[in-house]
Amino acid sequence: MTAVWRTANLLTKSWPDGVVVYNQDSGNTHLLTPIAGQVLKLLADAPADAPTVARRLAGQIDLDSDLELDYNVASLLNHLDSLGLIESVIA
Amino acid sequence: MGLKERDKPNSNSTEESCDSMAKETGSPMAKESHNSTNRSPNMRRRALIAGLAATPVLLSLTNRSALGQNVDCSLLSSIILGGSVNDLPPGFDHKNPDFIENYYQTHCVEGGEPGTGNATGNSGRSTNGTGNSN
Repeated sequence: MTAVWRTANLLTKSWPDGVVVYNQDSGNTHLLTPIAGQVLKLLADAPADAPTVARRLAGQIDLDSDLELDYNVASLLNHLDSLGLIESVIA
Repeated sequence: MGLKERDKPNSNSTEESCDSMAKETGSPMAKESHNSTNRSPNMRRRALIAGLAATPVLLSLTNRSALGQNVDCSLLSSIILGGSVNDLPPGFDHKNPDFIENYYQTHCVEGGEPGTGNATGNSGRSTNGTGNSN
């Protein structure tokens, strides 16, 4: 079963070269890459699984998603999960 | 008086910085992708995958107030032995096992567990005799 992810309780501020994220639950602050910030923004708009996030990301730059993209998005989501920035929800 | 130009709250540089943040409404990647729409699809795909594959965290600042609070050493030891991290206070709950073990070693082993004794050894009794009792 594919995990559906949503953001934790975050405050974010975006710049062209990065995104600062404050986790209101843990009190930790992270400076993320722009793409990681974009993934968080997509999940803040609507919880989604990795293939859906990959499809939305690819669609923003007129690309089609594929397995390699899905894999890399899933890897990124796992990393964000380990930081406590996202959490899985029951689909 | 005594303030450098950059320290003044209404200096131009600060205003420019705030303006740029206020105008920034879209996502960083959207801007980046907008600039890269002229690239070939293969180039865009490679750039996207490279961005995804890179380490997403450039810098992390741990909640120091959380680290400063007292954590029950027995709770930490139970977690090291495989217990749940759910009872840990904010700031600890997402730490990896190495961090928790290092924290335990630093605060509960080397310095003495809070409430179980005096780490300096000034208890009035010494278990290390300096001479022969005979």
